[in-house]
Amino acid sequence: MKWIRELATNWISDLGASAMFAWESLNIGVRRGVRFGSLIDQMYHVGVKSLPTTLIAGGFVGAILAIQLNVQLRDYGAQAVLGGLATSTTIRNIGPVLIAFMLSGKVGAYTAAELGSMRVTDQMDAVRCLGANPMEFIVVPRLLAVILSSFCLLVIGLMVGIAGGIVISQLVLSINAVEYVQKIPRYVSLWSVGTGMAKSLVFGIVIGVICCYRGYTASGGAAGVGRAVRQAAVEVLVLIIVLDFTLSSLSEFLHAFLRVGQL
Amino acid sequence: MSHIRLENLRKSFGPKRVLDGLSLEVRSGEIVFVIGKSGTGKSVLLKHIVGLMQPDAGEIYFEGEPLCGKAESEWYRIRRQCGMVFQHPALLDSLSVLENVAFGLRAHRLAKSESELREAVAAKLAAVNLGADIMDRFPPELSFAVQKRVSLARTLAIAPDVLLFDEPTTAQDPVATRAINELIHRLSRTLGVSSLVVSHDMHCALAIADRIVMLDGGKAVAQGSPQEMLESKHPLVAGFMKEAKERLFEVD
Repeated sequence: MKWIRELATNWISDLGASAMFAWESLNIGVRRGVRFGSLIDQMYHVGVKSLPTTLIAGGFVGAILAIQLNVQLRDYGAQAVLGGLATSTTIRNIGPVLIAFMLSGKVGAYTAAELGSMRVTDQMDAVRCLGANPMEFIVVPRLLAVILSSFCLLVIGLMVGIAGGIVISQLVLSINAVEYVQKIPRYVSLWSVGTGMAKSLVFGIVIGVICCYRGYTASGGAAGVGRAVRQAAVEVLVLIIVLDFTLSSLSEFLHAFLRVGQL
Repeated sequence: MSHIRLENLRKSFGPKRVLDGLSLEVRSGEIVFVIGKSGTGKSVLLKHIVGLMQPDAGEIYFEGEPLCGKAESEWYRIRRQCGMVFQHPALLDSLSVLENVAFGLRAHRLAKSESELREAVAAKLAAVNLGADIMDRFPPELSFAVQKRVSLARTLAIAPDVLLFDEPTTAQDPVATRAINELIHRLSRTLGVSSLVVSHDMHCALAIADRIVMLDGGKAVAQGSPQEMLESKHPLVAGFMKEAKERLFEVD
């Protein structure tokens, strides 16, 4: 029991420190403004360069879901609703989670490793010695770039995921693309789209905050950078799963509550 | 007037006491070399002056203002006046040489236009014996010695009143070493910039120092002008000076 208590204490402590880090970054960003040139530069590095990977991952996520759901629906002769179900699942649950997992490796690990290397090679201290705050000049542009890029990439990934489902249904499952698309509005409400967008934003924030925090606080040379990247990866993956469950439950609860309210 | 004054500074890392009641003064425009065996706390001393480390006890004064216990936000003003050149270049790998040297100029809005900024960067690079042709290159493309000189140019760009050097001439060729020594000397004599230099290079110390301080066991065990140190009977100082004189003899 003792190790469970210690593990829980460490997790809560780390989450608290990450939240404080996010608050400080927000505070600096609001008070001192964001270095626009640096933000654009970082968005190119972490966002634009991750686009091909996101397109591939997103397309295959949609295709996999369409194939898997088709297997279940075929037994009940309900393939007509494949388009609606596959798209709904892609947007609300599986799509954001799988694409966020991919981005945590592509964008998050890169950022944690870069900031960690800067920390252990005295680059952060050198910036401090120039009378500048590394949070303002180094961290905030990267944090904002990771959040915005992750959100945009998730949304693009979801759209490509839907397209992947359509293409695979037409080419492999012999389901007419028009029929597939026609079923989408019946199963995908604005609420579903909103839930998917909210998850994408929250996952983007999680990837940005955890990876920047772990990189910024790395210590102990190359081994310390490795440790920081590993911790960032584990924490992001676990948090994404936990938050996916939490946000899905919250979305269902709010949806039901608002419908009852309307009645 | 003293630019920097350390009083009874103490610092331990676990059971190891690195600074043990160190007191030291750097007066305005003075060049002070701190010498000593490896691991005697010379770099730790510099990090205390710019607030990268906090002492366990003692006080640090910058132009009469006590620094210990200051919040991080207050340190930025001090560091703007008290530039430090690290032992390792610590250049930002993702930025070009131009952007590295211009970092402080941009952060403190010291240049009115891009052309003025490029001119200022070129001038600082020239001061450390580097050409403007390396401006668009990135740190990993440069040798360690060139990176160190770019790092020195970056610190010079913010025009600090005091310069702290951690082994500035390590890995430099003789021409660059001479240029750096002349630069430190010129900054001191023409602009009144004080310099505190941590170094193992006794030739540089004897050539340009106003005062040399020998550190041992976390304390200043001897100090004086280069001539006084050359004549010192202190066994550790005598050992350092003997080695320097022998190497001088070999070269001659």
